[in-house]
Amino acid sequence: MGLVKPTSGSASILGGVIQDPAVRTQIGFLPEQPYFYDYLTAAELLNYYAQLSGVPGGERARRITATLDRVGLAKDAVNTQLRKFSKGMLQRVGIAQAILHDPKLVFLDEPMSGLDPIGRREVRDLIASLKEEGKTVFFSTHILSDAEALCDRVAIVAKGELRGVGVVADLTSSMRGKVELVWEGVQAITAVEALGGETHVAGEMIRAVIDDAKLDQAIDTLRVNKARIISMTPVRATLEDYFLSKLAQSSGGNN
Amino acid sequence: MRIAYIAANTFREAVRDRVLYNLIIFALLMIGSSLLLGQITIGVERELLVNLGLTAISIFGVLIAIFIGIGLVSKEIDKRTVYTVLTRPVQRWQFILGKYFGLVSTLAVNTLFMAAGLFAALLFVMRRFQHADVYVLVAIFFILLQFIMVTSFTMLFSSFSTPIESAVMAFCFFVIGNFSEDLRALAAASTGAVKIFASAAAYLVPNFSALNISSSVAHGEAVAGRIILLNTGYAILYSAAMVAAAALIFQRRDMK
Repeated sequence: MGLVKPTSGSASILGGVIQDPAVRTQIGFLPEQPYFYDYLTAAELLNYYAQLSGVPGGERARRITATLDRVGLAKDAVNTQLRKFSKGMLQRVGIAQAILHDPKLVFLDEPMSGLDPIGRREVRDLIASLKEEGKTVFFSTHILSDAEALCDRVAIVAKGELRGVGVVADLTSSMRGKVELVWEGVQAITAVEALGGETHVAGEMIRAVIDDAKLDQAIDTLRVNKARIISMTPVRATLEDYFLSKLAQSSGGNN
Repeated sequence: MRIAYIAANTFREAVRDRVLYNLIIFALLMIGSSLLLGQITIGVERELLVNLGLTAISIFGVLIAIFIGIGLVSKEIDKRTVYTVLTRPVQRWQFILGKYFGLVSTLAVNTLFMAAGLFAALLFVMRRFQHADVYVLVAIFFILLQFIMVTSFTMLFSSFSTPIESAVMAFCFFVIGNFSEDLRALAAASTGAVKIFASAAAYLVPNFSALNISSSVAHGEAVAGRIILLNTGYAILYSAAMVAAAALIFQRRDMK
């Protein structure tokens, strides 16, 4: 993004080297916890950024109004100095400045932080609509359900290292192949545990997660032990499970 | 064009941060002293008023140049506003130049108002303008040249040190600059290492001695056109070197 100098090597984006300012007309960027010139109004700030991004003079006013409308900033806030803005309003202005110049590629660092549930929902919808327009949105978040809901591809970074990258479904499929079994009948516990399933007792009910391959064996065991099967549910892995498993792997490796 | 946009925004920031409020104090000072000087008629009113006015213009401007100059770039980095500017198609040197011209234009507007105030006071006290007043205008122009230079080295200092250190260094530079004539004299009179050191220092610090003509114009002395030309050229070259150095340092800096 032109902020940090490479110690070695080179990087290119959209067919140009990252040091080339011309490439940056096609990139929008929202820093984490953004700060803006608080002596400006939202409209003035966007005008300044539009000038710097090379938006033609005749188009600026229209673009600014449309963008502020799109991020849902109230009309009466447009001509208010940013120092009077709440964090959520600033976040909206931040997203507005990132998409103002109609970039092909948008980087959003923690776009949902500081927003209330409605605001987060709106930002999610906004990211989805940018995606529909054919823009590439690259965002970071620690709310994995947001990533799972929006992303085509995700990368997991823990302790500064890349732990995994790929399509969400592919990443989580490595976690599939487990079934959750719930039954009544404590007499079957030992037999099921022998198959590799850890059991949890809650009142009358016993719960165990076992490998898909051992499901038939487990059911037989339960029948033999006269247990009453309550449910069998395939475990759908979430990105969170994947993330945690990657973390566990890495800390296992370190120890 | 982008340099102009950045400069305009810097100017707007200074205005909205109420930097120009110093003009009120200046205006009060001018009104007060002209009323006071109006009482006496011993032939030194003009000299006193011009001296006082030029000194006030210089002090206000230098204070603004240093105190805003130290934060021009560092404030943008601290407040992280620089992230949303440098990730746009803006070169770093354009950013530095834009910030520089923004403060210089603030100082120019500020000086313009103060000059108008001084001339209004002159008119009030003397009842008419005289030919020598043109040279007061030249003195004000030279003061503005000093501001341009002060802004440039303040910016350079702030590109590699903290705001407070930069302010201290800039003040020292300003003061030494006013004695640069003495440094030159020392270099001429000494030999060996002292000579080398003194002449190096004399070239490095801004030569404000040559730009300080307040007392001579207060006496009604004329200023040669050649001097105006040389001083202007000197101030521009000196500032350009300082700003270029600041830009070079900024160019290498990592924004984290």
